[in-house]
Amino acid sequence: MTKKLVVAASVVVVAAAIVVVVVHPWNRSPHHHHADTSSVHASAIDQTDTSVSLMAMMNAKDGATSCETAFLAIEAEQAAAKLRGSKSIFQWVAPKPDFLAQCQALPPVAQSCMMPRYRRDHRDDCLRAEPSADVLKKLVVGVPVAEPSFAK
Amino acid sequence: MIDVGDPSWGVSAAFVQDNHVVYLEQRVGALKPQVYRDDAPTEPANEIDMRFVDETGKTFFVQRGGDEYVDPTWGGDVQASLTSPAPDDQRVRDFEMARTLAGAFAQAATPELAAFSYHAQVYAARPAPSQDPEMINRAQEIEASRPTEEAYVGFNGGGSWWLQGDLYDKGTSCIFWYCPAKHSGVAMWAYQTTWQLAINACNHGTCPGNSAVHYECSSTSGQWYQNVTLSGEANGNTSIGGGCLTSYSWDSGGYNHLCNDDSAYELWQIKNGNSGGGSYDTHGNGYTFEYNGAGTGGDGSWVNYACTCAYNNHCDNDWSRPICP
Repeated sequence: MTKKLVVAASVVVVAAAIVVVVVHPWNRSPHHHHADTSSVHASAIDQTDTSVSLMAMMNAKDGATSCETAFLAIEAEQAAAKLRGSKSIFQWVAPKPDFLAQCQALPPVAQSCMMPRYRRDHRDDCLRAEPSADVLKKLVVGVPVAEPSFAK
Repeated sequence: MIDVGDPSWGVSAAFVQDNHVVYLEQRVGALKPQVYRDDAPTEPANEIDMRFVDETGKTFFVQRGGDEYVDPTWGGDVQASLTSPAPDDQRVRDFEMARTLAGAFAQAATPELAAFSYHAQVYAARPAPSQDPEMINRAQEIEASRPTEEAYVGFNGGGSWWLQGDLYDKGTSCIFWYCPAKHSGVAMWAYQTTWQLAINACNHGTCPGNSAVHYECSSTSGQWYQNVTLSGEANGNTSIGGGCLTSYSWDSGGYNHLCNDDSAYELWQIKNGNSGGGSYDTHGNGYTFEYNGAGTGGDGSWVNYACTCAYNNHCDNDWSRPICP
């Protein structure tokens, strides 16, 4: 019985080896020169302050509501910036009770878009749901982005 | 479909019409940074190069995902197209066939080829130069301003070229409705007596021509150049393949560069007519592009772009798009 099992196992191993040998050439043509597609050439960008802030928000935990999730994301960003010794991407954030009240007054779609992961996955819907600047500035104010003018 | 059996490498396809053929090739490059993958989750996760080649083997459209071509021979092929352009009627037909090919490829592509189908679809959604009112208008303006003697001289070494660079950008790393940085790329066009060649520089992120980026401004060569080089492979350690070669990082105040430095460099190549040193960049070294003085619409700070940000005044505020010089 043991001998039969050993023989059977050997057959399986040999068959697997044959499958690997046979399948490989069709899946990956040997004449193609492959670039290193798993490494990130521009990886340093992920280590920068802005990227760390963004990823902290993307990875923050969910709250009970969309607006709480949004505020938890901001708290995660601020904690990450503090830990890193860098500046937050936000110039000003409303105190939590005000933030939640203002956020909960937004239309439902806009509330969903306050959640970073939802916004990432529903970009176009969220662009259409953008509240007015007056409303947004009662929630958060981002650090201004410089727009260059030409004066050589 | 010529070769679609290895999606980890790329694809090759061809389209035949009226005894003429155009080839589509795509090659898979490095993984995009996480921040760009989060920024555009529907785009392929890897930088992908794409080009169209005519029946004589000349490249007439190339899209570069990062700083260098995945297949380094493509840079030389681009240069060959600048030294040996095609007859106008052939090139017009090639661009139109390329659009048909891209559409057909996108439609026929199986799910495992989705990354290649994505870029083909974006290409097919845009008109060929001969069908694009904007490109037709530009060609008419170029012809109207062409000095008479330019039409007949300089056909050695590829002839005379008029260059145009279109800057496209979008907010990136967006959260809520606030985007703390900008991604930019440049569509570089070369015109002789018709639009001969396009180099679409994606600079690691969303490519020019994609509906997610919007047209910002253009730069032209402003003069007819001979012996044009846009591939820049001879430019030492500061640039290669038309993009900056130094490490890529968002905090580019040191040695590193980012997409907007690439864009600045690409736009200045258009001004210079070549990819290395020149009189049109701000230090005559081919890779420093400073905009000082009036400052910015944001915090009023100095704005400086460079491939090698350690030189001169470092890169400042280059997380926003450059202007069109």
